[in-house]
Amino acid sequence: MPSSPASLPLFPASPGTEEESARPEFPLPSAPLRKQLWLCLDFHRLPMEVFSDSDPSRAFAVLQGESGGLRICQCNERATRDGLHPELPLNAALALSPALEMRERAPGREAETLNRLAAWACQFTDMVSIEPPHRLLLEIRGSLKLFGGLESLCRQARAGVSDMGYTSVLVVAPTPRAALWLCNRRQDEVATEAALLPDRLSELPLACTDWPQSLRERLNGMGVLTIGDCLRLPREGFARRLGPRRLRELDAALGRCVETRRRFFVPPVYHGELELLAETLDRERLCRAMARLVEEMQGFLRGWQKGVQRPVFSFVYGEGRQRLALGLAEPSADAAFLLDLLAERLENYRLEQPVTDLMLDSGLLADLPGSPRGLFADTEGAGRDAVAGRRLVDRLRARLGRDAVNGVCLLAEHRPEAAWKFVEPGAGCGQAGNPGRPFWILQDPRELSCRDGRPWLEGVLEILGGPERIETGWWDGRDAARDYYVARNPTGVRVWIYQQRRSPEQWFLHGVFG
Amino acid sequence: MKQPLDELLSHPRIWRAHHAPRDIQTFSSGHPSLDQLLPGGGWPRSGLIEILVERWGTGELRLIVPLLKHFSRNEQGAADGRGWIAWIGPPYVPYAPALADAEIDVARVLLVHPRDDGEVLWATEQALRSSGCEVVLAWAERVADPSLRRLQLAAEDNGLPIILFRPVSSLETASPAALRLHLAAGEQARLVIVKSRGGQPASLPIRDLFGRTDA
Repeated sequence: MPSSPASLPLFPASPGTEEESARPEFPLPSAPLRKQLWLCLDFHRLPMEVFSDSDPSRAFAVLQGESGGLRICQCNERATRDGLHPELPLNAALALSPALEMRERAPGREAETLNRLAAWACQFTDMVSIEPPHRLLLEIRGSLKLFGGLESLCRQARAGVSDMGYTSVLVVAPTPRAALWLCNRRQDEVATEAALLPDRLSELPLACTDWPQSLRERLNGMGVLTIGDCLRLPREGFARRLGPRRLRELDAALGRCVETRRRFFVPPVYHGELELLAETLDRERLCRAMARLVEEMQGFLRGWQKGVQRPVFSFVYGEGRQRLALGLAEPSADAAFLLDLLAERLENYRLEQPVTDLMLDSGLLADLPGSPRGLFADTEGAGRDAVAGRRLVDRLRARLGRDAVNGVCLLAEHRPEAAWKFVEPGAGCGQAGNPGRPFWILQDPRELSCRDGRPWLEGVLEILGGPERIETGWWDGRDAARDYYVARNPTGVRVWIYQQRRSPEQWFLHGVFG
Repeated sequence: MKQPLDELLSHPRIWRAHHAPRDIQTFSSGHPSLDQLLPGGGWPRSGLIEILVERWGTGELRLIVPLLKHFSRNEQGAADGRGWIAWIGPPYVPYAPALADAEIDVARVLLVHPRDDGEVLWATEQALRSSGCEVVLAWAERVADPSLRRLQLAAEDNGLPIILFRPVSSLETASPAALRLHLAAGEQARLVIVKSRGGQPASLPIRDLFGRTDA
């Protein structure tokens, strides 16, 4: 311990001292019983990263400060290479990097983004807390088993963060405050042992605490440079001079007392917005930017264990916006699948004007199909095929249009053209009716020309069978009175034709036997 | 010195005429006289099957109805037999009552109506690559060789058959198909096996195939 001229009496640093001299006001609390594990994600690059689509090959910086004295808050790697760094005044920055692209810092947007990230984080635990300006705290003790252990959970969290295009520091610690403080070192760290925590924290400089600058300077002036130095001070003296709040924070960091956190409640629907740096019509770029929102939504949906059935993608430009709704055959929470569909749809989609902003709305959430898993493994293979089948329908429809993909079903009806109809794929049903029908049907019967009173289709039609009389439908005005024949033309095509009973000279082609 | 060559020739992707592939997996075509001529005794279980016709409707559907019936029967347990029977770009609408009469499960019929041949091929490849189909039927007029190769590979990789119906004019160009049939109509209606992996070219009269005279 460095000797110090300050007036604060310094006590020898033996651990027993605190207890012996403790006054009733500030007794050393006993450790709480309930064990916790906190994961802290620090999105320290958020001021930059809310501007999602900045081009890494061009210098870009986010500025903050009064309008007269704007300074650089954060800048990208290209700008750093130009010699820019945080706190540099704007004028100096422009002198170093004349082509610098810049934006003023948008705290409102940062807060919104952090909110959405909190919703995304709810897939890992139900206890998520937002720590402004850039951090999230997750209590993960109860989730470890589900996610296959701590290491696997951390890996999934890291992968999720980078899939969305963000960077973060990830720290795991037994107490929330320790996790927050360790985060300030800007290094990933996993410290799970509560017993080792005092040693671990002792090394931290006071700059890692969130204490105000003036307080830290005062302590530094006293020769108290690290958290370890603070811990060696007598409790009541520390509390009296620096306030009981700081003592409580030290206790909380060490796990000597429980610190409560405000829990984040997930909104019932997802709404994400993203501003593009430059307006664009480039579909690939739009898809890339939209990917971030879709990934966010995926985490949000996992937290709810629900899916979307009709997500709406909005492309905003100057005065208006275009809304593109994806209708899914079945609710889904799969980002990759949704992005695939979006890319398919965008290919044939006309964007009116260059887009400046993107939005994504989940719409009402729906239960995921097959969420209650089957007990026996052998049912899963079948389920997967069924899911793949419905996804195929979605994919085809996204590109070809909804009406281009159908199923067929049978109807109990004697008129051949009314004995079937298009239905949703998979909804077909019905009992087999009359035998001897052709495999192909013409939706609108085609009138055949006649030569010498005989029907003609690339040659004289030779009648092979018939007639079969169909006379029905008088009740709905579309009555049919026809004699059907099976015929073959000289090229070998077998067809199903009919003669109108009311005008026997009229022949129609209605089907092909195939 | 002989060994590397033998190794190369034993690669499953290399086919030498006169040598039947060791384990060719097949479905019975449902036509005994055709099964006799096909290597392995039926349609290949995966890969591209081309059926070339002079006109749509000269018997090509009757040829494959037994196969569709097989996929409708769902006899291989739950995992098998739940996917679509996809019809991509058919020239007319398949008539549901006739399908039902032929014991084809209409609930599993998926009809896709693309606007042009390019979209037919795209949709076909999607269908092959998703694991949601049992068999894919597609109709296209003009298909370039690289596209055929793509379909053949997609079908082989995913272990299902794709039956591609094309006009007879495409006989002039080669094809990577596992099986290529030509349905010749008219006075001397015959089914010609133009190419079959591991088999010999052959032909048989339609009369023998369907066992009826009205074809």
